Amino acid sequence: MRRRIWQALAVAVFLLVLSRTAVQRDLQASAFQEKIEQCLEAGELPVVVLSQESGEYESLGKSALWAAEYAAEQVNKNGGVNGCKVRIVSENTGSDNSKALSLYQGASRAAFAVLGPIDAPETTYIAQNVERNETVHIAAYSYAESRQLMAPYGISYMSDSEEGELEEVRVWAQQNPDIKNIVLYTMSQDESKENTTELFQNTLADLGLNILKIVDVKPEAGEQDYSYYAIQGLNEDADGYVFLIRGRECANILVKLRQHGVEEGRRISISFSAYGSELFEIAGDQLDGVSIWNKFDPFYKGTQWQQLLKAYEKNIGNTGSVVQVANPVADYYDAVQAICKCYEQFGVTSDNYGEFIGNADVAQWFYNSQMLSGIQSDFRWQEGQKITDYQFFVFEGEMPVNRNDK
Amino acid sequence: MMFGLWLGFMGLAGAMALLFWMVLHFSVENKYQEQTENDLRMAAQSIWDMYGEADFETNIALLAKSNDYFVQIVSEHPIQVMVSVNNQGEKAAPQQDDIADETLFERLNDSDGICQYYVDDQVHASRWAVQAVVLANVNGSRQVLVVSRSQANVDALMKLLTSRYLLVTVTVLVLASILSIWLAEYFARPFRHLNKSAQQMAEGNYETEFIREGPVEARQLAETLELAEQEFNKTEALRRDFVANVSHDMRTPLTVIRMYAEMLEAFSGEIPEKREEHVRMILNETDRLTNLISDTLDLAKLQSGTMEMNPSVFAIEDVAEEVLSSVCANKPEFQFKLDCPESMQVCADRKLIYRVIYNFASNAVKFSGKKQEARIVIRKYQGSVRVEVIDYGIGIEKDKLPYIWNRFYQAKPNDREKCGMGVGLNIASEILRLHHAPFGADSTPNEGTCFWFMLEAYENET
Repeated sequence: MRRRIWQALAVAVFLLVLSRTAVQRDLQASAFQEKIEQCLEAGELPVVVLSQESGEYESLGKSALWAAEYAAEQVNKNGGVNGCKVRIVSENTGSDNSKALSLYQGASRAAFAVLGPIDAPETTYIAQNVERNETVHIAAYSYAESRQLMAPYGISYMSDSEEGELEEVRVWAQQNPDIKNIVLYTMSQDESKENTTELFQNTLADLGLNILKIVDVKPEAGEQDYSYYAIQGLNEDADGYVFLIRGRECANILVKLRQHGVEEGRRISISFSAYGSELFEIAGDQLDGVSIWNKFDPFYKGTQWQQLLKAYEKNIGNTGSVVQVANPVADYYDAVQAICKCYEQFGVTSDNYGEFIGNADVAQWFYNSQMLSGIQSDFRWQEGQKITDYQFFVFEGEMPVNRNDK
Repeated sequence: MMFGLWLGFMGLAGAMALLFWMVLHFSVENKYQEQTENDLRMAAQSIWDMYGEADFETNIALLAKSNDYFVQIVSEHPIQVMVSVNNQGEKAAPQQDDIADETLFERLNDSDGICQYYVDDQVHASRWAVQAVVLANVNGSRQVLVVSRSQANVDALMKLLTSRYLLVTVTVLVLASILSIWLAEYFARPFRHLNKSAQQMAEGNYETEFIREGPVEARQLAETLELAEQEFNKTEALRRDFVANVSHDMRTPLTVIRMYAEMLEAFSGEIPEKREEHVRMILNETDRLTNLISDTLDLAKLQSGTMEMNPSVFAIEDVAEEVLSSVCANKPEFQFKLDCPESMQVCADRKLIYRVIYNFASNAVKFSGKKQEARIVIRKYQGSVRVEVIDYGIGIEKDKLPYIWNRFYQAKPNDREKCGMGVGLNIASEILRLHHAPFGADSTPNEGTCFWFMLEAYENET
């Protein structure tokens, strides 16, 4: 009898916690919805952003939110859209999947387009769990599977990294025709890198490249691990080394390779995901001749970009090195500009905003867009995938130089 | 048994020796081996990290000398030793050609660029522990760092330990063998003796001696067997007495019957007074014989548990009166009084309870001595009816009281006339046990005895 009472009590507590969480989530969703509605009531056009100001993606999330706010500021400086000022209405997901979902559901009731999250796990969770979606969702739809699940509403805010990685290796191989046998450094715990590795295994032979060995690098590796990874590369009769890994791991292994016989930097190709301060700080003096690619050009001379760089440096407290601009900055700037362009083309104002919720024409406008003007160059969306130019660099000393500029 | 014990002890000693050997071999030797491999790994790591530094070769020499290992750097195309330092930190040719030959590169091809292996030490009849790691790759030609250390010292130590171990093992096994023989004898001997004595007892010799020796359990077993032997002795004596008693008690009335029958045939048939007297004697003896057989049968039934109970409600004082009439019929001078202030109902087998009171009363008459007087006292006592048969006769010694309920027990074995077969009280006790009735006897020598029992009082609820 007593046991049954305890069991019933435990179930009751569990249900209470569950219902409390559900109520809490619903309250968050409603509050976010109200925030958007208040913006419209104030006669402003909302650009709804699911931001990551805390949690695992905090550093990237803050930069992305800043870029969105900066873009809105630029639009407003030019008089806004259709006579309305544009306002970024954001809410922090805390890099938490379930919170991101409830906020997204709240936003969907009041907005016809939502920007973010920046990361694949949160985006995939929303795509898999949202009950009914008629909201244009510009987020990290880098996986075709998620995109198809949300089509035609799921739109990728950034260009596909797998294709970029392949393009970099193709360009690198073309520039170095003597490189035939390579060692590939990857990180199987990163799903994106795992997919890229599979793509390379299937396609590099067509480029005349033979993968001698795939070295699987663990995140949070130590000094001895870096030596071990380097030795694995040195043990092969390789002409070149391709890195699909992050900055710190890539820099440490690269330094050891260079110290142990890999004298020519041109034999090394690095992924965009290593493009950052750690690579330059750890391996700066070993990068001469090394190839690297990125989704944007930090040295782009365009006025808008240069203004953005200055503002970014001022607001984020950068050290002044242009190469440290976070990756989603350019993409979020472009996404906000695209949303504003949509408002302009469809004549959206704060009064008629609600009429565009679930509008199929608007969804198609994003999903298969005409050419749009970006912060660095034009881009378009095709079947929700962002199509843009990739930027390829070769280090001259410690500075990456865009191949197109050479 | 002795062989089994010896085998067990030797098995234990062998297992211990094996365990010790396994510890020596797998633990000590593996520990040394692991230590050597770790040292070589650390040495290779240190040298690997120093590659490219200006004083690279000088540092190698220092490390080799201070850590007692040999270092070579071997290039792949062509295979040649680029640097070779001995354990004194001096430049010297490799200690053996096969430390770093072409098989080195085959080993590395099957590895991640690091491998560990052993090469036979041709000079010291030992082995070289070798750690090889790719140090650099220059234009597709690997340069391999080979660090090695002789295992001669470790092997010598292990040989020494093994030889000592073998000596210790042989000594231990010999001692264990001697000890196990002594222990096996110590444990097996008493049981052998006990077994022999028990066999003698089984053959009917109840005077066999059980020697108390060896371990506690064997001594306890000897005591137990001795007690059992004593009990057998007592039972045998009782059996013999019983046979003698039954023979005597049956023969006596038969002799009397025959004597009076002959007298009837010879002369008293014509004299009515004599004939009547002789016929009465024959009938009395026949009754006595019948009672004897009846007692024997009842006893057998009670012992086998086949005695059937026929409970009924009756007044206990009525049964007591019947007993008194019967007992005093042939002894009109005996003063047997019934003391029962009120009628008391009980539920029991009337016939069996009559038998109990009769046996107690008969005893009272037999042993009342000169004071031809006895009493039956019936009282209510805590919801039960307590019946006491009290005589003022010779009494029973205190040490004999516990045995009076035993079968064939006779407190006065020499007084044949009074004692009978020694089954009366045993029958009474069995009947009372059958009724789950408490019973007992209190006695003081030369003052008298009180036999008592209690039955649950029957209360008519209506």
